[in-house]
Amino acid sequence: MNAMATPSSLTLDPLLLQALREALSPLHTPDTWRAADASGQAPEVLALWQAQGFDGLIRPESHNGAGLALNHLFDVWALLGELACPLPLGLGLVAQALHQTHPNGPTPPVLTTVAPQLHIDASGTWHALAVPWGRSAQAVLFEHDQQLMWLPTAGGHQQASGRSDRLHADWQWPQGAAQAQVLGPAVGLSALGAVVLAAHMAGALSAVLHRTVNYANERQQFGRPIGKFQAIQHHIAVMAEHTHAVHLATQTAVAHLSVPAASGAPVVSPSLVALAKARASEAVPLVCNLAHAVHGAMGITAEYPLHHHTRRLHAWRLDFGAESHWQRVLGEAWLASGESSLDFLLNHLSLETPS
Amino acid sequence: MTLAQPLPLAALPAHALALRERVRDFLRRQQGRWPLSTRVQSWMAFDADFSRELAAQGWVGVTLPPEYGGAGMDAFERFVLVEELLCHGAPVAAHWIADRQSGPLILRYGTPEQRARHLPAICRGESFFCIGMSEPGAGSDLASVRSRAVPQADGSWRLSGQKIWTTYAHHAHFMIALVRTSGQSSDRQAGLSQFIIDLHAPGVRIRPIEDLAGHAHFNEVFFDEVHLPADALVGTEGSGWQQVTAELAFERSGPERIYSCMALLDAWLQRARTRNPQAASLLAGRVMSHLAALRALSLATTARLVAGDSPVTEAALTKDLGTQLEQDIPTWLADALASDPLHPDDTEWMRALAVVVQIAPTYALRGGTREILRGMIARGLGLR
Repeated sequence: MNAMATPSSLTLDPLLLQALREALSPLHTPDTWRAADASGQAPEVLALWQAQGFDGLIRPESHNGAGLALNHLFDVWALLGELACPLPLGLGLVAQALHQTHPNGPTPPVLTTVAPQLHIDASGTWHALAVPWGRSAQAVLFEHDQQLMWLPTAGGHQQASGRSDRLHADWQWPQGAAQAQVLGPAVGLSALGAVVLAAHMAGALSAVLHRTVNYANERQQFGRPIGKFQAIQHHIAVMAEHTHAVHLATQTAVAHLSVPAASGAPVVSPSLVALAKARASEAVPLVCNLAHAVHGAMGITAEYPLHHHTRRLHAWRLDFGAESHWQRVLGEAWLASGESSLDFLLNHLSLETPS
Repeated sequence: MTLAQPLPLAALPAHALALRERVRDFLRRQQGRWPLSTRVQSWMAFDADFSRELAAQGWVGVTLPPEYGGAGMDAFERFVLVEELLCHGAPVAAHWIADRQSGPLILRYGTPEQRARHLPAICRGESFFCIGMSEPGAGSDLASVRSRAVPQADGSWRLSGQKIWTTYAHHAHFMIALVRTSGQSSDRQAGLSQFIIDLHAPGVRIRPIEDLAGHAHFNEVFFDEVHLPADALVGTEGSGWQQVTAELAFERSGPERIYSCMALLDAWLQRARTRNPQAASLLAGRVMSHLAALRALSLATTARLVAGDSPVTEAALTKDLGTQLEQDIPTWLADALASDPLHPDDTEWMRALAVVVQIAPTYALRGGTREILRGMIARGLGLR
């Protein structure tokens, strides 16, 4: 191997992360989640995000921003996932970063989400199906015909997408062609979306794990907390193993994220996207099933808040491709590389991999 | 210690990366010596000549200081060396225990005389060690060991009892054993001590146990009034439990807990490339996504070791998940290989697979069973 450029200073300033956590945590309660599921809105979260200046995380320091790049944002995305945030703040940062590479393009609003695909039917109506945070978004960013563009939700119609997360929506724009705001050439947006969702999933899996540990320590049966039973301990140990693995796989991919240069160079290799999204998606049913097993019938109720995370996780597992899609992408890259397992790991999938 | 927070991502530092090409050059010249059925045994394959050749390169006892003939490597450098050795399928069993845990244990707890006697011999590849923990009545419940060393008037000890499942005791020169030196089995962790036992001493009898694959890796070891000189005691009398816990952290934290099946995996992938890559891509990607996550986890654990922590719980977590993949690989590959019953695979390849399928249950036993590790992880998570 050649001399390697290791991504540096990838972790967020702990004080900034602490400030984010302390500001956002009190606003993410079961009441917030229920209200957002019902209305598709969380105005208090948006107000705080802007009032605290968190919408400036990736704005250049010369413009009063924190000047962070996408490869610094793992902790932010994981926190938003841990909080099951009802707004597309994580994907909104991606839209903002891409806009910064096309500063003359139309500015997408702060609540811009990303659609995995877009198609135009025979009548000329533009459709984006199963858009994550589709109900709470002000705009939808997507790629079509080799162009990166966004559409305001104000000009479209939405309907329920049938996903396990109630914030997903199907959107259609009868006047899409007239309303589309073009930012520039396509950059491989769905790969970016997949990595961001994987980072959200890492945080959400942690939240599920912590809630399950707490429940097992409190719930008593046979005269003692159920967490004292080996069968329960082993379920939770397995949850922790997969949660830790997802965190490290996803952090590895995020560490290599970059915004495209003017040339439109790829933002992150397909193999790194595949590592993050395949590993995160595969862990979702496993961890969620164990969490629900430990919670028993209580975990199935609308009142108990476990489902706010597990329902989102089951939806995110599918968004931008479930595990089998990305496993195939990764496998094809490995087979085509001609490399041994270790060489492929070192050259494409580790923190030491050249960016 | 808590597992509440995920481990921070770690990268190999430059000085560790610098080692890789040198190790590869050496191993490429050796690899032709080992048939696939040897390579798939990974760190269970014993070749004393190879261990001495590796020692001549300075790559045995690698974390020991140069004053004892060691390479003075940190855990990051050992990580690189180990991943290269295992991914090339090198037969490292002869020196493996001494390099990984016995040497570091003697360095940490031994007297200057014990270090001077044992460490240079380990580094020359002349002194092979085995682990004396399990007994017929003490497996996962290690604290119930019954072998007993009785102090003599002259400061020496007399040891009687039995160890079992002792890997390569029949080829090793020394055993570091955990035995009772005071109290009763009911005293549990108290009253245990560790001894360095010369396996050629009178009264030591070793009986290999044939395993299900027809190999004889492990043994019963009987001690009948074995005279142990005073300086056979390593560390402090009565502190054996604390010492063995530290030793197990060395044993469990290395990357060998994710790489046992690499020779098999690479052989399969190479065949898939020439036969039907389309059919293999899904499985290849699944394995690789697990492997890459595990390597990051193992490296993050190593970083804790380098930072001076004893990452016992992180190591347990990595080992349990790692050995799961090590067992999944032969399971998944066997299914893929027999997916077309009209075209059976060739015999050499199927023999290698069969070796792994038969020994794979050991992956989740050696160094602490899956069930014990999950209990440790649960405690690390704060389950009371």
